[in-house]
Amino acid sequence: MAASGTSRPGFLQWLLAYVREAPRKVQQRLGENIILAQLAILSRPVRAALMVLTLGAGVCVVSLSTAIISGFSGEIERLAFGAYARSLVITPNYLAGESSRIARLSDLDRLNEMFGEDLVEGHAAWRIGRQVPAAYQDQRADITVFGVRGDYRFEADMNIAQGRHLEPEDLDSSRRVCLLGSDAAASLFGGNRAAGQTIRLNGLSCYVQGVFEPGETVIASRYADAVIAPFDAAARYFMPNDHLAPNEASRLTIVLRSRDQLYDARHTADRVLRRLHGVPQSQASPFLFADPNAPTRAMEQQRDLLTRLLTGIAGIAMVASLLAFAGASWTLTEMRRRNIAIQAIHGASYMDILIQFATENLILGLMGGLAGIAAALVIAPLSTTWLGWPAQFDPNVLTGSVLLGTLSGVIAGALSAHRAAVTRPGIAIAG
Amino acid sequence: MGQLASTHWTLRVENLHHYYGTQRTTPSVVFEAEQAFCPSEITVLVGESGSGKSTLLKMLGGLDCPEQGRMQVMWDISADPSKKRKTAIEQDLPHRHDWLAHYRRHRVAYLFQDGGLIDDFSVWQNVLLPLRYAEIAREERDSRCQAALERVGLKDKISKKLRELSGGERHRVAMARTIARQAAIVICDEPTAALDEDNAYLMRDILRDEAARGACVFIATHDHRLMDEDFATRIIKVSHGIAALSSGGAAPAS
Repeated sequence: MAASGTSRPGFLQWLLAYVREAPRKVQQRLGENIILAQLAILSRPVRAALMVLTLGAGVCVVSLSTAIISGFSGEIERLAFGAYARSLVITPNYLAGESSRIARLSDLDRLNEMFGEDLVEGHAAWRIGRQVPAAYQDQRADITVFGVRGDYRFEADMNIAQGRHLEPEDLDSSRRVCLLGSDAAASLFGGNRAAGQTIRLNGLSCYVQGVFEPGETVIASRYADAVIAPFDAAARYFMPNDHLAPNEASRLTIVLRSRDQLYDARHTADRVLRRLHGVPQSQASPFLFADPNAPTRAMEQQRDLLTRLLTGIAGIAMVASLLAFAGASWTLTEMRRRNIAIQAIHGASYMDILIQFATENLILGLMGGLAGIAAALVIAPLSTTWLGWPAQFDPNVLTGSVLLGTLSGVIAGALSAHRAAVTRPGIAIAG
Repeated sequence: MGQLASTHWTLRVENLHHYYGTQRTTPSVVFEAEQAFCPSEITVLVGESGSGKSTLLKMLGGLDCPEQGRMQVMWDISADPSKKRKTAIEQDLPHRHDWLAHYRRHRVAYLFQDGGLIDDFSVWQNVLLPLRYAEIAREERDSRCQAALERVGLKDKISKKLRELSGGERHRVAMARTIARQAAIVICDEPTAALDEDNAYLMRDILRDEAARGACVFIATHDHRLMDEDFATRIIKVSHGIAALSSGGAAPAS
């Protein structure tokens, strides 16, 4: 064997040829390993389907449960407070003694100017009366009257069962029109249609423009046994003895776009209103600023606790699914050690084996993940329709569960393939 | 024949020692002779079951590393008990890792007693398997597979799954894979043990053709038909792990 004398030019030629051919060879080898991975999957379709199902079930459970948790969180908040949770509610501070003031309609306009449309989503001025006698034909009942100007629907968050909502031109006028709460309508009309009828309210006729459905939120349920009428009509006709001037309101409500702005908005409103009403900082604030956010925060804590619990359960389901997928991947690769040895005997390198098995598990993992998401997307609307469970999917959770599942399969398959690939094929072929 | 273009290669074997288990006191298989194996030679290993024939074949085929000794022809597999996995094939392809895989990929075809086939794959995929790793152009490997399957009479069963074939047919698939491989070194472990008369003669013819093509053929067998002088170039007798030249062959030229 003449090694040293002839090897140098031979080596250089070989090196040049190697560098020239390397990209093509790498591409070819990679392609062959991917083809072998596909062949291995297709040759055992039931095995592949079971792997896909194992991961798919886990991804489906996690996606669906997180979507339902998320949906419920939003729904719980909406049902509890609706837009009221992000409202600045201003009422007179009767405990302030002489510095106590009653808000005026012009105060609301001034505050709206201050905050601007970027901060404010809606606003309303309310005039809250005591119960007044109401009658329709021979039916009588005592009903609370609310006079309103502005966006009353943020608080009276109810659908209309009959008739229609009050339009802006109704609200800005003193027409004797009203909306009836569901309980009020039931007590005056029984099961008969109320919209379009005329009732007597505080002894005066009032046209029923519409009837609310029962309210879903806690705040909306206030209006079930009440009448909502335009601000001026209420002040002039239905609650003349409430000791308020025509331009004064029992309550101002400013609905902000975000709850995060409530704190700053409260201080701004206090400063502006003190200036408008001539109350210095040295005296108690003339108004109370209700903090509807406080009960919301309390409920949020409860909700977070529940969410953590459910997320934990979903997480355990995901971990169980990942372990099952990884375990199945490991076991199935172990079962193919003889095949791996045969491939190694016929020239497969360590990297060939690793790439092939990683590709196999990558394909199965992606298929499982996508199947799980597809199943979750199909089941979610059905659960909403049949069980009333709202679902709100988070793309990060969907992507994360697919990637995590795929990664666990790839790692388990690759580790097992590594074990098989480093075993001497002469031993591995024996099984 | 592309891989056999060089006529300079001979496989030189010196004092191979292989140990089983963790005790390194007594080697399980020893081939103390210094022998040179040339292209077109057929070397037959004979001996009782468990004598070490298969282990010797595995070392020659790159399936197992000898812990001591030296194999050297165009490539040099030297083994060191402390660096078992770092075996180098120096002259053939320098500066590459995964030497044994490369050696198997480009030089060796291995024929097992049970065929060594992948049951999940079809006939075609099994025959094609070694050619996938040998970086051979698609047209070339397809024509080789076609020709090999035609040679063993399985051309009409290329899409069949292995599970659907009889034992004899499976063996012919393994033969076809060996033919298509066109390797420099062909290693057969009990190639006729499970074959009927017709298939055994077919196997004998194929191995003779492989040698005629220029391959260096190693066979471990109990079959006397493969020990004939008109078939075997040399016979090595393996007994209790010790291999010794029985007939034919020569010491390597210096």
